Amino acid sequence: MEALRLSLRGLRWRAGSSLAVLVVAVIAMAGAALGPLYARSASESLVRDGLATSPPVTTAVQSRGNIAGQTDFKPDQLADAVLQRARDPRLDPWYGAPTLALVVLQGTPRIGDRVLGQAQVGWHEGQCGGVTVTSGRCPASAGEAMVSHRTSRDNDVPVGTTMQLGITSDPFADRVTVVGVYDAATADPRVWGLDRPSQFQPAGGNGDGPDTLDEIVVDRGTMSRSNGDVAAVSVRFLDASVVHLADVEPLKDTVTAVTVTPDPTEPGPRTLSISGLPDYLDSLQPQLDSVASASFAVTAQLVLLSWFVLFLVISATSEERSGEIALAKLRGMTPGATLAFGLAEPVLLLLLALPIGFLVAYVADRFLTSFYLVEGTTVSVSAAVVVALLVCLLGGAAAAGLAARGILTAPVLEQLRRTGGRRARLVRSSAIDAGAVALAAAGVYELKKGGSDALALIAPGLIALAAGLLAVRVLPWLARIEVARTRRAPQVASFLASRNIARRPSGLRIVVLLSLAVGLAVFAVDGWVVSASNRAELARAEVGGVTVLHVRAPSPGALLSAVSSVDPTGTDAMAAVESDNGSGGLLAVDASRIGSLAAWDPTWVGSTRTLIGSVLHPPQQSSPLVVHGRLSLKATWTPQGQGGSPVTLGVAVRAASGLGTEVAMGVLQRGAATYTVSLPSCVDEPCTFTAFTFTHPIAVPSEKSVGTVVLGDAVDAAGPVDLSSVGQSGWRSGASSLASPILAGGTITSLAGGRLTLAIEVTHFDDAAIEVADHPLLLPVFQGTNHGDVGSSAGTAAVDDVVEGLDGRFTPVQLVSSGILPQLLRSGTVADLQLTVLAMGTAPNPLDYQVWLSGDAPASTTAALKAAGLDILSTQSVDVRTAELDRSGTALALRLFLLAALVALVLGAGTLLANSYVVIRRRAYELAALRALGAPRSVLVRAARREQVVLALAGLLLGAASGLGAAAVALPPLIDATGSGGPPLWYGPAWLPVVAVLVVVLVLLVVVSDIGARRTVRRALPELLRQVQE
Amino acid sequence: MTADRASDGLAVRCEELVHIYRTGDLDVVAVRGVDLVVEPGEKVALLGPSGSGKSTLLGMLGGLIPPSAGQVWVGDEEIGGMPERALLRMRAQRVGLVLQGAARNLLPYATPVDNVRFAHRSLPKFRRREVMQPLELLDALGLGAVADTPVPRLSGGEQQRVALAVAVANGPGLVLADEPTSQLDHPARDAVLDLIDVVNERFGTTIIVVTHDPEVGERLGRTVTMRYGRVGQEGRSGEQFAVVGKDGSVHLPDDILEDWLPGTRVVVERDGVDLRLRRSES
Repeated sequence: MEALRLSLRGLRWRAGSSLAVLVVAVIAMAGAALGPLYARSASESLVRDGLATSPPVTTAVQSRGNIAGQTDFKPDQLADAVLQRARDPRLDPWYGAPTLALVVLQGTPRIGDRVLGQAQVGWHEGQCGGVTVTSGRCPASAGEAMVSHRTSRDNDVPVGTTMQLGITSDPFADRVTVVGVYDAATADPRVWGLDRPSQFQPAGGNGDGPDTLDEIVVDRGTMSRSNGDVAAVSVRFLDASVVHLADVEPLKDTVTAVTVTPDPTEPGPRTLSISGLPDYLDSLQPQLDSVASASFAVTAQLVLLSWFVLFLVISATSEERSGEIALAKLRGMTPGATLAFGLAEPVLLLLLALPIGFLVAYVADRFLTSFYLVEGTTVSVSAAVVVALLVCLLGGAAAAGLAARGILTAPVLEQLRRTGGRRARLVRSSAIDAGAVALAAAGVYELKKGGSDALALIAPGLIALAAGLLAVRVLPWLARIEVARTRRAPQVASFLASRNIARRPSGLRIVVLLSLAVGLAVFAVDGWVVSASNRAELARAEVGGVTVLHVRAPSPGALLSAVSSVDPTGTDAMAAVESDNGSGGLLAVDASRIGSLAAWDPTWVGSTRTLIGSVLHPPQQSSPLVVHGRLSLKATWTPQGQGGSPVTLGVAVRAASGLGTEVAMGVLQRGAATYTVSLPSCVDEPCTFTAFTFTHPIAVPSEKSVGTVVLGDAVDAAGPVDLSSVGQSGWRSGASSLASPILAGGTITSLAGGRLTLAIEVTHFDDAAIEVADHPLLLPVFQGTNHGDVGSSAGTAAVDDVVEGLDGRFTPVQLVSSGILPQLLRSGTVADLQLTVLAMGTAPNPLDYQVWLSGDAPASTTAALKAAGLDILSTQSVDVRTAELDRSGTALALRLFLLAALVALVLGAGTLLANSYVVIRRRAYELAALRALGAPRSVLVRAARREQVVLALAGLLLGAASGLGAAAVALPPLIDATGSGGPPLWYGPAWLPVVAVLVVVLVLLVVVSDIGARRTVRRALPELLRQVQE
Repeated sequence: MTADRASDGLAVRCEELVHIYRTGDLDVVAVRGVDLVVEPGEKVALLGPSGSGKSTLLGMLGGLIPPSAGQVWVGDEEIGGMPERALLRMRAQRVGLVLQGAARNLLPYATPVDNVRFAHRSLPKFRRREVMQPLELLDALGLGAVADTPVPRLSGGEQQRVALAVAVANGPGLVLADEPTSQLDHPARDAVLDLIDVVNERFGTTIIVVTHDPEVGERLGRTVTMRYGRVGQEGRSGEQFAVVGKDGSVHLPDDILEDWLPGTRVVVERDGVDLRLRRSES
């Protein structure tokens, strides 16, 4: 107790240096603890973010059973069995209450003989409260049904209609009365589970097959008495907010156990549970590993740095106390007692720093977690935190022990005279230097070969450490040269500074520290900026526009019209349509606008914002020719010779919806004849006239037909159609936009007076056609780099590729260049939307209609788009995507490095300042002697400052070089691992931020050096010398 | 010195004591063949100019500087070849040291009581109870009034006396003090000398003091003057004696050296058992 009291008095006596050491030790402890603390929080955030943003289909547990194959059971029995399976109590900690539904997937509802289409028919527990009924009421008993607003409107099914559901062979059980109409968009997922009642899809292909209607909702009684293929479905949704990192393994194990395929011999209806959660959690593992690796690397390097810092300050503290420790030896204390006396103060500070450091780290982690991680992420202490703190404490104690070793062996009188030159040489251990260099070299080798073991991960720190240690060897030599140079020169300050550096190697330890700190900082800042830039570029490429609205639109044409009406100038909004065509996708964009408002960079496909519009949509020879309702024309056929096989005259048109239609007008009669065809798809809205075709029958071998055709006197439902209105160059041979493109064809010999004269040649293998040149024969496209380089025919009219269009049919295209495409990245094709529709048409396949908004688009644009008839389904933005990517494993890991950089810099500057406080007394004696000899105070300040600045600058430059070197070696594999597939990666260095950091650090170091120098010289009073006189 | 009785003084004997230290490439002989005997309970002042080797001799007596040759006896033990642990034990229990500069002998952030307690730490625990307790000691030495005053607030003379008190805290038989009166005014100096007398008389402690001050030497009774690393002169009760060295050398008194300049040739003549010196005429 007496000893403790005395130590506390000592600490208070040296309040300045004690506080400085305490602060440095606290930062060191906090730095060591913060790595694993943040890593744990980051891992939890990763898991929570992933689970929260994953679609329920991935995370939910779905239990189901079908009547098919087990018709002995009734639907209600099946429902009970499914519900029993779903209610597995093991899921309760993480999953909500189960939903229940009885559905028949493919009912065929009809009213009388009128088949409405096909539709899912179902009952969902709680359905009446889970959807908004817009008219009528919710079904309350068997025989009642509810249809969606769309079904009611488009299929003329008002409330009160009686219909057959087509889900059972029993007409009585199948008949229902529509008692209500609901709004499908309001369906509550907690009732509907993984289903959505909004299921409408128009008939596919060429209009064959029925439309798929929205779900028809019935009462449970209706389903109970159905003998159709009823499925009972129950879903339990994951409550991501209650899942923490510690839950991941138990959650995975539980869901895996619950979803085990049941024994088929079990009595009762067969049911099973499925979930994508275990696979999803497995897929998160690489990201968690990435955070764990970074955590290890950061923690190891911070602990390494902390050790060094503690060694530095505790050595300095011990040296400062050498007089007192010598007193203990003078009084004859045993080595043990002297050691205890010598270590008591630093160990007390370390013990005090431990809880404070932990607290600081905890608070810092809470702060970081609340700002950068997903809401609800917890901060908790893992074993790694305790280990890091203990390792740090032991390192500090070891540093104190090393310092004490020198104190115990030093002669008493030398200690009392405060001359520590010989002791300091102990620091320069060749073995340590060689070991550090060897480890750094091994780390670099590991990194170079792509390794990711512990050595590779801490390579940046090792490189900086090795550089610092080598500098400690080299600097005294350089200083000696400077001493010789300045000895006879009038530069007293330079002489004193270089003399001190040359004779006091212990002071050079600060170079190692700064090298390590700055090296880590440069590596982290460079890594963060480079990776953040790559992530931002990836987000720009993935999203395409600054903001992208996914909308529901009737057709590409309607989308284009709506967007044009909202933004006539083309600066704020752009229409785009994406089709998942199975070969990377086709993205059709409004080429006239993409250059000005895309977030995606056209240079990624070798173009520019100015040029891309004209590249994708070159000027066309003709404007579109329209036709209404029907077409009648007079054709004069003059065959050569016998005329060959009969030739069928066909006409191709495209409806406003983009749907293409090809119809035969009839077999050409020798001489003049009038041909008429009805075009029902062109009645409501005019169609775009596409092409005239001349074909032979497919079924039988044919003889070549050669001759001249004159087409004229065309009339449609609106009146005469002037075929010459597009001009002779507005027509061209061939027709690329047909279902089966015809690339050769008739030769247009004249066009006058509304008459089109053609020379044609039709064989068994080659048909003939002419089409309106309102689009290029070969659609110009960009393709992802996975399609290979630019085709040999780039810039020519040859076919580079065939691409599956919006209508699912293949069309020849001309490849402009390949690169990184918006949204589709390295796969797929990008073309102009208008030309795509003209060249390829559309079909009622599920298309992703989009509106891209510029960053400057007014907030009212969205409302205007809604008013123009576009339903907004979802929104994406570069900012949101960037934020998502910033929460990915690698980004979190790099943020950890950034954190380490901050801690390292604070530690570096703090230690430099603490060092100046601690050594101040020791240095004051020397400077006092110089003052007694007549050296001006200003010269001594300059000398002390110059010495400190030289050391700081050496550490700064070495740290910068080693940090950049480490980044050059370590970053590319890290960046490759996370950014591949996106835009061209940038590997840095990020000169501007790195230089900015270095400048800030330099200013900080100069200020700290100046403060230290002034303080030291201020205390260097000649009176001090009386105490050291012999 | 224990709580109930004074300690026995220790005798000191040096035989042909030599210390050589190296500075740069040069070997410097600081002490060359010193023979000296100090009786138990004796008070001795080591006098001599700066660099004469008196502090080095004191350091060797305290086991702080190892002799290069010769022997040092403290009490019954020859300490020249003693291992470090034994020397520590010696300083803990038998030899008290006061180094030059009072502040260097004291923990600056502690009180005199704390400093005495700090000195007690070097004793085995059972011995701590046997020695005088801090307040008792300080009272006995007339320092009770400042016992709890922090060291920085003590005057130079008080600090010096506290340093002496700390040196005798463990009851040593020998106290070695290096310039205990330097930088002190006369009253303070006298107070320190009074304390030395008290320690010597009350505890019987042998005391060796290094000093530049001849008056201090006179107060202590016996003076040993060193020159160029040798004992050149001794004085007892005001009478000065030249000391014949092993090599036959004799240091002449300063007043004679003023007349006989270095290089003066001297004729040595025997006169019975005595010698007579006469300046050579040739």
